Formats: sequence, structure tokens, C-alpha cells
Amino acid sequence: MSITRRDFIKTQAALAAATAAGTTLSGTTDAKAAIGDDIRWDKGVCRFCGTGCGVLVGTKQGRVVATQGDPDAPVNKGLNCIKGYFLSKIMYGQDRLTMPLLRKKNGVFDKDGTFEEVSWDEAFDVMAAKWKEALKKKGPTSVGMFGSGQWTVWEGYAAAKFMKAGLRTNNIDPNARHCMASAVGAFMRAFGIDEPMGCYDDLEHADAFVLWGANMAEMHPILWSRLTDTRLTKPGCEVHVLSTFEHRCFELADNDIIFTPQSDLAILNYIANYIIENKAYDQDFVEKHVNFTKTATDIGYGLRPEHPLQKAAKNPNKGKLTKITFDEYAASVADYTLEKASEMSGVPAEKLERLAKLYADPNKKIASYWTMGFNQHTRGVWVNGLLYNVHLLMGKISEPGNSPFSLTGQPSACGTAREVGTFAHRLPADLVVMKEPHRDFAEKTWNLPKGTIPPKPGFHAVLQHRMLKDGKLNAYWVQCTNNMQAAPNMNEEGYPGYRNPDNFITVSDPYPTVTAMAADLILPTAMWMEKEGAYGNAERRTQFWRQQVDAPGEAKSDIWQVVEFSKRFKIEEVWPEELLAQKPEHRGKTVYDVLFANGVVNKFPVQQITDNAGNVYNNSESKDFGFYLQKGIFEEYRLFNSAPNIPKKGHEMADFETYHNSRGLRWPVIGGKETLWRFREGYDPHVKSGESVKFYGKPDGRANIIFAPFEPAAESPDAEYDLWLSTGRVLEHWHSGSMTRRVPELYRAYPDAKLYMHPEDAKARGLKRGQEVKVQTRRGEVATRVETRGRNKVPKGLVYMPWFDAGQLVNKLTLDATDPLSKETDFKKCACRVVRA
Amino acid sequence: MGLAIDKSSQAVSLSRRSFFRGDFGSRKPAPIRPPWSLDETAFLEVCTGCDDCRQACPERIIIRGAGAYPEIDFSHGECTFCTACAEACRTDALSVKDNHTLAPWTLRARIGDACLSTQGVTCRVCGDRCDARAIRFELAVGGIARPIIDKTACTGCGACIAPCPVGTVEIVQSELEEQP
Repeated sequence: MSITRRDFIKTQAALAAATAAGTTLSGTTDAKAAIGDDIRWDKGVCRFCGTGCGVLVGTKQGRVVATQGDPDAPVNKGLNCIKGYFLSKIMYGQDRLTMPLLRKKNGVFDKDGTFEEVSWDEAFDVMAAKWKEALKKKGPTSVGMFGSGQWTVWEGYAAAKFMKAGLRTNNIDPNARHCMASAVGAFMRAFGIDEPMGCYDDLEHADAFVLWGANMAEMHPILWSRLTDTRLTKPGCEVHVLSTFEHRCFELADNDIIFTPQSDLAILNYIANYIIENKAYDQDFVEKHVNFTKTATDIGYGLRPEHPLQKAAKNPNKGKLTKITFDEYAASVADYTLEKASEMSGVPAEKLERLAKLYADPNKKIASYWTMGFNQHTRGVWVNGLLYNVHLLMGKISEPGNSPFSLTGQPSACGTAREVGTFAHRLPADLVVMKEPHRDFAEKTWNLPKGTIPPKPGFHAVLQHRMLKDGKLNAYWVQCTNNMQAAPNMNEEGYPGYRNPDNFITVSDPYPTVTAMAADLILPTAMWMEKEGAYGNAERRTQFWRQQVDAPGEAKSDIWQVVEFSKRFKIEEVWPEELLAQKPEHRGKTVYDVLFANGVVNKFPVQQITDNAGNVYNNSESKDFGFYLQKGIFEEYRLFNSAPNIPKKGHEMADFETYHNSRGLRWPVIGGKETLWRFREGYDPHVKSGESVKFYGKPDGRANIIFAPFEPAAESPDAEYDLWLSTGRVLEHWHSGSMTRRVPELYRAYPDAKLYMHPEDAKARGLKRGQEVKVQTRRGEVATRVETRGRNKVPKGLVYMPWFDAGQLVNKLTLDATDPLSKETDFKKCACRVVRA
Repeated sequence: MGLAIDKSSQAVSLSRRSFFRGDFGSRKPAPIRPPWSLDETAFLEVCTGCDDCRQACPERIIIRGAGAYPEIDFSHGECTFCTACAEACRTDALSVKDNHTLAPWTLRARIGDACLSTQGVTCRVCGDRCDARAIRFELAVGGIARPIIDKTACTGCGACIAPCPVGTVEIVQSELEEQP
């Protein structure tokens, strides 16, 4: 007997609810009897990774009591990972913050004081005074904000507009800088437009999969499920897995490749060389759609300018591309022979050759996936580009199954961090502050005087911590991220920066995280289903949800905080006279009036929000501001991506209400239709009939193949620090664990971080499994325990430690070396030693 | 990937299993004694409830049960078979002196019907904790790897019990386990 789909959903829902309520039920009838039928179910989006799984959210008596994989969600088709299964509990940790907390002594703010509850008024009074003091003393470069790929679309947009247009500073950057910046850099250099050309449908269309520094089995488990399904059901399907250590994906590997850190640069050049030597490349595609270039070399490591490695670099931070011929390109990669690549990588030649043959096979459709292994890399932009080179040489791109695909880490790294312009150099919809026409367009769209937006990029993530430490960035606001725990080199940069007496640090979070506890003011934040939201996932899918419940106490959403705070600034306090003279109608107004009560954002009146079943939902921001804030922001954002006069086409989106009535749509959305594969005729409406392939992000419609050589890592093991240290995540915890470690079941499942080590490395140091050890680098030490078994099997000479554990802050150890082009930190490579505790 | 799941076979085996275990829902399962214990009747005769084994256990998984007799509580951790409890026992209610090579017990792990992996949820917590590699996850069509217990490899150490997020892994006497 097989049960119906409807019964299945109902049973799953009841079981999920039972689990969330702390009971465990095993059968259908038990579950139904225990829970009853009075749960309201609505579609939502998972709060965690960039996959963007649809979840059904069950609410009862003002509380989210259950979640389950949404069977109608095209991304996950009802499946879920263990984090998603326990989503209903993330909002209900016992130490949830419900009131602003300010460091005080004797009743007034004191940086050395202890946290005391204050009203929102007092919090914003103190904060605004500090921000105005900084602006007055040192100007707009002394204030800054650090945001998130977990912000909703409108939260990121509002924050970027407030900082760039309101306070006239580009010092806003998202945590996506730690995560996706290298991918963005490579997209812009190769294609002139951000985000993948393919989509998740490639998981079913491809004949073979290659993983480059992506542990999908743990970090994107639902996409891994789809990949597994294809591997097990499609005849001839193969999976090649490349990593610096063995992880769960190797269970499915037909070709398992463990390579020496950084040698991926050599392996990719070898593959290009193999394709050219064997004349396997798609000559027609290359002639019509590709330009050959090379990039400047010896570019340093994004360290402070006085660091010896920076001083030694010939072309620090240079990303200049020079056009070369196909023959020059071929000669450049010719150095990377099979023997050389094998020697540099430590990978047996036959495994590398098998991989090269796979890419060179004209009859195999290949999807390549990568995440932090590529992006968190001091040559991250280069290595992303080297993989595009391989796909472009073969013409294996922009069609079903042929897909170089950058997986994102965060739920809205694409939708928010990248698309609405929260980076220090960006504006909404792929525009950048450096280009005058882009600034002009943004200023015109926002009804601002010309010259409002500063042309110089602001401080990026790592630079923000350096500037805080150096006392140049003095008023700082962190929202929706735990960056003290997440950012590299906490001992030397992050912590001294926050505690610098010259600085006033505000942190908005639902919980007292490591970052919040290092701040001067903590603002309690409404999270996830406590606000109306939108996320954009890795496959360009924009997904909305309704506010399901109210936030506890006085917790307020990030967008509420930004918009409300903007009321504290008179426009005369933040703009000089020459700007005001251009738009005298703004005189006497507040930043709030100019940016948010501007006739566009406040255009939509408060409306009753209902689903198709007639259930009514709250919208706290509508209530507080008197207009439909989320809708107004989204429709203003559409003036950047969907209006007829926009500078960069290709990001078109549907109107606000359409998303509330769908399971998400992949942009560009034109005529109500989403786009699955970009740049190819027949799939992408921007490519005209007869053009076949057009990389329209570039003026000549051609993508760049960019030669880049091997260059070594910033820090490699030596006699004193003899092991590679790689850091990362685990399935059970999301990022810094601030949500998942507060879910008892997830905490029990993986309570503390540990150090994965090869048994022989442990033995050589006289260490036993489970023994307490100290991991030491030139920057600090962390106590942990040795693990010689378990899910990760590291090779000799490398150790791996997850960073979710606030009790074991692994970023005391990491080096703040970044890719000089993307400014993204290499969290995967530094040198450490391990000694007995 | 379809989602129609045939639950009929599970339902049958569940009731059969419950029947053979004599578990009709209301009765508390028999307590688990420390490793190398005599059989239950003999154990209750010989054990004086002196508490020595409990105090000797470095993993602190032995608790004082009903009648002061020692019981194993896997919610506190796992048995490492270190023999400290048996060595501490003065009455030979548990003993490794003569029969050290004998198996400490016939306990085996069993995964219940609430297992998330059978419900479209990626969770491999129990397998990750299994040092004997007795719980393996087999990649399956439909996308979610399914747990398989190798009963000959399982030592009944209980490491898989506490971390299960839905509390559906249990430890049972292997002779009561249903034959496959």
C-alpha cells in the first residue's frame, strides 16, 4: 500500500511538529492526535545556506511550532537537511534579546561599563550622537556598516541606500565578502555580469559532475541529494571530487583527488593545456564568443601595506587584463604538463588525466561546482577564472547540463549582498560607485543631487577591522552577522578594533553573540519569520515569505532599525551646502524623509496581507511606519533592474505581488517568465535570434579567457609551524552557530568543534584521539580536542577545524591574507602547529 | 524524485517487532546492566547494590536504578569497555576475571521508525558517532542516504543514542532482535 502525497505531507508535518514540541511520535495516527489540525501552514524559505530550500512553516498561537520541506518547492521537492528540520526552534533560544543593551557606568554610556537595558530612544540617542560626532570630526569615511548575505533583500537595499546616499559613505560591506567576493570578481572579469549562467536543473541534465573545493554533502545537502540521484540513475554518470582532504562527497567519487593546497591553480592550467594539445577545444565557439587575455601577476596577498609579503610584490592588488592571442595563451598553459601538475599537486598522474579527458570529451555534459575552496583563496578570482577557461574552451557553458556553477554559502548572498549593492564598491543591480554614469543613474533614480554618492569604494570587510584598530573608522554598525567570530585574525585586528576607545560599536542580533558581547550597544533583532522577507538563492531565484509571528519583547527587524535610525539625521547634518543647493526642496528634511518618505518607498499604503486560503498575516513595519515598506523598497529597487532606461540589462524582476504568489522566480524575469540558462539563444530573452551565444555583460558580447599562473599561498607550513590549517563548516551548524547551537537537538548532534588530524600525525606528536591539544599559529592559540576518525579524513600535514564553536574561536588563528582582487580572506590556508594542552 | 513512500512493510515489521519484544506500549523496558553482567536473575541475586561499579565508571554512564541496582544510561555517554566497572565489582555480579574474551553484552543498536533519514531529511549523526563503523549510510535514489546497521560490527556501546536528534536510536538485546 502506498500512501498518498497528501497523507505523506500531513504525516510529515505532524511528526515535525511533534519533534519541535519535544515529543517523539512514530506513527501517523499518534502524530495527528497529538498535534491536532489547527496549525496554520504557509510557504517560507530556509534561514540557512544558499541552496534556498522551500519550507512550510507551521504556526500555532503566535509561535512557529514546526517546519517541513515544501513538497511544492522546485529546489528541494520536500526534502530537508537536519538544520532545516529544526528551523522552528531557532527563534526560541532562552537568551533571546528583547531590549537594547548599552554599556553603562553610573547611569551613562561608558565603553568600559556593563550592559544595561535601555529604551530604543536612549539607544538611538547615544548612537546618533556618536555617529554625528564622528561625521563632524572626520567626515563620512569615519562611519561604517557591516551587513550580511542573510539580510532580506529590502534590508540590504535600505542599509546600502542609507549609507551611500544618506550618510555619503561607501563604508558598507557584507559578510559575503568572506564568502562570495572571489566568485563575483571572476564573474565580472569573465562575463561582465554577476551570478551563474546555469541553474539547479543542471543537476539532472549533466552527465558528469566535478567538485572543486565544495563539500556539498555537508554544506549543500539537498543539492547533493539531487546530484546523488542523478549519479545513481543515469548510466555512465561520473563524479569527480577534488579537495585538500577527504570528506563525505568522496563516498560518491568515481575519481577522488586530494591535492596539495593552492595547487588547484596548476591542475586547472594543466586541463586547459591538455584540451589545447589534443585539439579538443570547440574552435567555432572560441572564435565567435571568447577573447583571450592574461592577468597581472605577483599581486601580493591583501595584507597591510607594511607586511613584508606586500612589500615584496611587484604588482600589488593589480587586476589589469592584457589581450593576448590564442597561441600566446596556448604557450602560457603549455608549461603545465601532466608531470608538472602531478608533481605540484601530489595527485597521481592518471587521476589528473582522467579528469582532463572528461572535460575534453565533447559528448559529456559537465557541471562543475565550487564553494569556499575556490573563493576563500588568495588567488580566488584567478582560480574561478581558470575553471571558466576550461568550460569556455570546450563551449560547455550556458546550456542544460554544461554549467560552471558557483554555489553560495548564504541564503541571500546573491539576492541581497550582491544584487542590491551592499558591497563597498557596488550599487543596486550590478552598478558600481567608481563609474560616473552609474552614480548618476542611482542619484537620479533616488532623486538626489549629483555628487551625493562618493566615487571611491569604501572599506571592505578586512579593511574595516584594520581601520577600526587604527582609529580611522569610529562609528560602526554590524547587522545580521557574527563577524567577530567569523573574520580572520581576531587577536590582531577584530578585537582590538572593537575595543579601541575611539570607536563606538553597535551590533544588531537576536542573540548575545561573540560579536554582540564585544560591542558597546546591542540592538535586539526580529529574525526570520518575525518579519516579511525575501531571499535570492544561488540559482538567481528570488523567494518571498510573509511575517508569520511577532518578535519577542522590543526586538525589531534590521530594516526597521535602519529606517528608524535615519530619522535621527537632519539632511543638513550629512550633506554639504553644494549638494543642498542643487535640491533645495530637501532642506530641513531628515534623511528618512529624503530616502524613505520620498514618494516612491512610501507609495504603497498599509494593506491586509493574506494568503490564498484567506489567512491574515501581520506586518510590523507597516504598522510602525504607516506604509508598506517592503513593497515600496522592492518596487524602488526594480527601477534599477527592470525599468526601461536602466544602464545594465539582465537582472529583470517581476513585481512584488508575483513573488508572494510563487515558489520563487529566476531572474531575468521578462514577461512573467523566468530564465533558466543565460547567454544562449532560445533560453535567454536577451539573446536575439541568430546570435546563438552572447555574453551581453561585455560590450563585444564575448567572454574572457584569462590566463593566470600558479603563485604560492601567503603562508605555508615550515619548520616552526608544520601543518596546514584549513577551517570550515559542519552539516549540523550554520556558520557561527549562533542559531543552531541554541537548538538542543543540533547542539547534541555536534556539540563542540574538534581538530581533524591524520592518525600518523597524531601519533608522531604523542597524541591520542580525544586528547586536549593547543592549536597554535603566529597569531594565537586555541584549545580543542584531536579527532583522528569521523567524517573528514585529512591527509598527513593538514588539519581541519570547524569555526561554528564560540568556545573555540578558530579565527584567533587564521591569517587575514586576502585575494588582492576580491579582498576575500583565505580561511583555508595558514600554517599551524599542534601541541599537547 | 518522487515522494510516495510505501510504509506498509514498516508498519508490519513494527508490530511484529513489538510483539516479539513483548513490548505492548505501556511496560518499561528491562534495565540495561553494566557490561560483563550475569544474566538478570543471577545478577539480582549476586549484586549488593554497593555502588562500586558506578563510582568506577570513567564515562559516568552507570546510574543507580530501581532497588539501588546499577543501570546503564546511554543519555550520559557511551561505554568504552574499559572494564573498570567489572574490576571494581567485589561480588562478581560483573566479572572479567575468567572470561575476559567473552563479549561484554549482547546489546545492539536499533534505529526506530522516527529516523529522519527515512523521512527525507539529511541527518547522519548516529553514523558519525559510530567508531565501530557499524552504522553506515548508503546513498540511495531519492536523495537521502539510508542507515544500515551491521549487527556483527555493532558493539552496543551506545554512542549513537544520545546524539540522535529525534531520540529514535535505542539499544536492545540482540537475541530479541528480529531476524532479517
